[in-house]
Amino acid sequence: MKILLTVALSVLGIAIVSLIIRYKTRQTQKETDEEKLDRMTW
Amino acid sequence: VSSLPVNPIGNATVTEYRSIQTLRGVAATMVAMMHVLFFYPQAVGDKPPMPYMASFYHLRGFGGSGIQIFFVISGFIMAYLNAIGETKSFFQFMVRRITRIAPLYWMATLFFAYVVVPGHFSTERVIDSLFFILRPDNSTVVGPGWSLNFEMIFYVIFGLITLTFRVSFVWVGLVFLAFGALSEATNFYFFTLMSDPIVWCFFAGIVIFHTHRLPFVQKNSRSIFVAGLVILLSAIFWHTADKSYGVRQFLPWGVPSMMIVLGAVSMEDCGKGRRIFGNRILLVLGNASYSIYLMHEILFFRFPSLLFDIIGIQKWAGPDVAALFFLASLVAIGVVIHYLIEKPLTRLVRALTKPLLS
Repeated sequence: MKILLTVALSVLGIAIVSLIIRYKTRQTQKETDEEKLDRMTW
Repeated sequence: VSSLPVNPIGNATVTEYRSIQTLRGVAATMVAMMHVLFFYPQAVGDKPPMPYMASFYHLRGFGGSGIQIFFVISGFIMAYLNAIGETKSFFQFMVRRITRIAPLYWMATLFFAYVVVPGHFSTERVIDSLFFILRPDNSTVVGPGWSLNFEMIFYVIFGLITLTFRVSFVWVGLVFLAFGALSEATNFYFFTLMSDPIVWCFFAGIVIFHTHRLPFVQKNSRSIFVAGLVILLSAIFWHTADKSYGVRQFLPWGVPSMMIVLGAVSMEDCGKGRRIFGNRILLVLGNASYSIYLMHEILFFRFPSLLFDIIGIQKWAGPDVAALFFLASLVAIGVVIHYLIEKPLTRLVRALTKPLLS
């Protein structure tokens, strides 16, 4: 049961992060210069 | 920022250094890995077996070298911002730096001090953390905050030198030397902390910005990058990491970190290494590196009990897989925090402080 829970959580986590990456990569192309700089400066 | 002048590369828009972002992603993950390996025994209630990784030569503390990479990158990016004329005055420069760093850091500090471990930190300590004030023991409420204090002091020095006094960046190095002399003369903890060799990573980053396009460097960029990588990785076998920083860490970690950053940006500039620096996952980790770096330690206080007590992943997957799963989860949560909290928060603060920059 715990194995299934871990696997399910992992799949869910991977799915969420992949979706975010996909969506954000598309969005990154529309970024302003200010946002681009923000990502590089900290 | 649409009024940004043409940058030194000749494009009309801001250059995105993918190599820098990739290295940031790797560095943040390395720091998280170090903390996972140190924290693992506590997470499982000191019940063996422990991860093999934690006892593999000096791998356990190796992730700390990520900080040196961060500092080199920081110097490089500040020199880049100066070259493109991001801001016109010291005040504007500091507003841009503080509005980038502080919102998430303040949120993390207040959340940790008053929600996660209420009553653990004195108000004085919280205030010191919020205002980036160095303490004699170099501690902050949120663990990784100590390096942000160093960053902030570097920003002040860099901003004053390049925007107020408008003199050569070499003066940054002279100020660091002066800190060393003042430390010897006064023994005051501020100067002692700020004369640690790790601050030279900032200066090296500036020098790297001004040298990475030299023909000799570009011609040998791949060799410099690979040599830096090999030297840094070799440190796993011969360098015992501890909290003393100093020259002991500067040589095995600082110098190769400089070589890695120099090699990487120079490679990117002449079109090499696109496969490494174009990796989407590493870029996302780089973009989210601030959240990963800042937030992962806070998650040590609640999250592990789900993984190790309720699910008991270490019992059926083994300690090494459990530690790696723990690390991957922290990184993934950092990515989510970046998109759901850090970015909207930064956007909001930027909008509110826009009048200060006009």
